Amino acid sequence: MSLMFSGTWDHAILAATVRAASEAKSTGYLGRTAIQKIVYFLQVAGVPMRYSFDIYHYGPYCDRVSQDVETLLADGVIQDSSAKPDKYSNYVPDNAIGDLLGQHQKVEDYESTIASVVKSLLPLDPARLELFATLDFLYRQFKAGGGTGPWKERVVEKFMTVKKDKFPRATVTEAYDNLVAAKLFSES
Amino acid sequence: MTGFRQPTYLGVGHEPKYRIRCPIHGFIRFSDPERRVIDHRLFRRLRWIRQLALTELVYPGATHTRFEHSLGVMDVASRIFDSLARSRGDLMERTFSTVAELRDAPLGKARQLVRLAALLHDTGHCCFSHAAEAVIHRDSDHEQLTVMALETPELLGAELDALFFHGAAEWTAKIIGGSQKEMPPQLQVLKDIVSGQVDADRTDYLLRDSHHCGVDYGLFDYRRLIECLALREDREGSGGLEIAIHRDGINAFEALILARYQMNTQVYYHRLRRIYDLYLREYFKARGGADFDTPEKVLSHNDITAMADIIRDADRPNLPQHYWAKRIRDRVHHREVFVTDEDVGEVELKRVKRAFEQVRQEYPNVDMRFDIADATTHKLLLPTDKERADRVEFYVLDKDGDSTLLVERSPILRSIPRWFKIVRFFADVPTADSSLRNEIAEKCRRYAKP
Repeated sequence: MSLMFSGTWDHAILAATVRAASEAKSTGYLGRTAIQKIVYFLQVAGVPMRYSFDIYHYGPYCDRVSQDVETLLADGVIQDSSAKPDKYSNYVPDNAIGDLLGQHQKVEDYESTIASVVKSLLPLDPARLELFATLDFLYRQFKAGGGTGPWKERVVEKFMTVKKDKFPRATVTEAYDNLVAAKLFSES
Repeated sequence: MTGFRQPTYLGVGHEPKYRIRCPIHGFIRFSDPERRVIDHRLFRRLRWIRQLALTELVYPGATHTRFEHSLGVMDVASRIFDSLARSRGDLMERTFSTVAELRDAPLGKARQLVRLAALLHDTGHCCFSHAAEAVIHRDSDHEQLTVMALETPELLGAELDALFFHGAAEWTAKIIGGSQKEMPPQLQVLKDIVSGQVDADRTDYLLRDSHHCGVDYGLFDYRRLIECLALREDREGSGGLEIAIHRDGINAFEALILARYQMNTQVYYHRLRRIYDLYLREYFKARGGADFDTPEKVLSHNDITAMADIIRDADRPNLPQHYWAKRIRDRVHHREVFVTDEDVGEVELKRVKRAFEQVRQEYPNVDMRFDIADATTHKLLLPTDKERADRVEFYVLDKDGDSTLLVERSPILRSIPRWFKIVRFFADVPTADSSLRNEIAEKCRRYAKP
C-alpha cells in the first residue's frame, strides 16, 4: 500500500504542482514560500481547491497548504531534496505521486494552467513572489469593495502601509505596472 | 458613552416579531422577511441534516440538526454585533458607511448581513455534513455550495435581495465564503463575527453539541466573553476594524479555547465517530458519484433519505456499498488497535505508516483501516513562534488604552496545543476475541516505536 494519509483533491493539485515544477526545468526551486504563492495564484487562475488564503506578514498564506505538504511528504508522494532542509526546502516528486494523481484524473483538465503558472512564477525569488502575491491580494480586496478604478494609487499605498519599508515604493509601483502589462490587473 | 448605538433594524416590516425556543439560547427572535428565509426550501432542508453525522452511535443524544444550530449562530452573531455597537457603534457606523451599498443605513444593513450570513452559513451541507463531504463534494465543499446558492437568483439570490436590500445576497455570500481578498477591509469584521477567533459559529456549536451529547467539555461563559469584546481600528491602518478583548474576558477566552480542544479530543474526533465517518466515505465511494454529480443533486439529499438508502442497501448483498451499509445499520465496527499521541509530525507519520504496512502483512486475514485526524485549536501568535505566517495577533485592551498580546497575559493559552493530529489503526476483530486484538495492538505499538 503506497498511499495512507493523502488522497484528497487538494492533495492531488499540490502533487501536480510539484510535478509541474520538476518538469519546468527552471532555475528556481519549489520551497515553502514558493508553493504557498504558486497555489495562491493557481486559485486566482481558477483551479478549484478548498484552500482559503489570508494575508499575513509574508503575503497570502494558508496553513492548510503547509499541513498538506507535510502529509504528502509523509506519504512518499513528494520529497524534500534540499541539502539543508532546516533552512530551505525543494519539493520534488516521490514514488507515490503516480498513485495519487491516478485517483484524480480530472486534474488533467488543469494541467496546462498549472504548468503555465509554475513556469511563470518558479524563477522568481521568494521576496518577488511575496511582492506579486501581496499586490494581487490587495488589488482584489480593493475591487471587492466596489467602486471604480484606477486602483493603482490605492493598492500601492495600502501595500506600503502593510509592508512598511520592506520594499521600495518604486519596486512596488513597477511590479504593479508589470501585472497590468500582463493583463492580470485592469485599471477600469 | 459617546460610542453607544442601539440595535438597528432595516425599518418597518423588519421588526423581530417572531420567536422560536432554543434549548441553548432561550427565545430567538426574527423578523417576517427572516421567517421567509427560514421557511425557504433550502434552509428547511437543514431540519434533516444532523449536526454531527453518526456521532449518535457514540452519544445517543447527538441527533440535533444544522437547522437549530443555524438559528443559534444567528442569535449569537447578533449578540456579538450589538455588544460591539454598545461600546463602539460610532466607529462601526463610520467604517461601514465607507462601503457604497451600506451608506444609507450602515449599522442596520451590516447587522442584517451578519444575521443572514450566520443563518445561512451551512446551507450547502451535504448529507451527513462533514463526514462524507470529501467524497460527495469532491473538488468543492459545503461553503462553495452555500455561496453558489446565494449567487444563483433562482435559489436564494433574488429572494434575499427582494426581502432585504439590493446586494444583500452577494454580500452575504462574501461574508460566508469569500476569502479575505474578496472582502473590503471595512467589512472584514462582519466575517470575523460569524467565523473568526471569537465567533458565533464555534460558540454555538460548542455549547449545543455539549448539550446534546451530554458532556460538559464545550461549556464556557460565552455571555461574559461577548460582554468583554472590544473593537478598534486595525493596527495596519487598512480602514478595517479589529476585535479585541477587555482584561475581564481573559478567563472566558481561555475557557473557549480549552472547550475547543476538549471537544475535538472527546467528541468530534472520538475513535468510534471516526470509524463511522470512514464507513460513510466508503459507502458513498462504493455507491458511485452519479447521485451527487451536480449541486442540485447534492442539495436534494439529506440525512433522512441517505439513511433510508443505507438501511435498504444493508439488505442487498449484490450492491458494492452493501458491506459498508450493513456495518452502519448494525453498528458493527472495527476496533481501535493503535493510536498516536495528539501531535504526530512528519517523521512519526512515516514511522507509523511503516508499522501499519508491517502489521497488515502479518495479519493478511484481518481487515485493517487507518485514520488520520487533524484540527486547529487556535491560531494565536505565541511569543516563541519563529514562523509568523498564518498566526493571529489577538489583543487585550486595558482601560488606559494600552494593548498587549492576549497570549502574553495568559499562561494557559500558551500551554494549550495549537493543533492536534492523531493517527489510529482499526482492525476488524470480533469483540469477543480480545486476545487477537491485544496481540495486534502490541505489535502496532512495537513497530511504531522510534
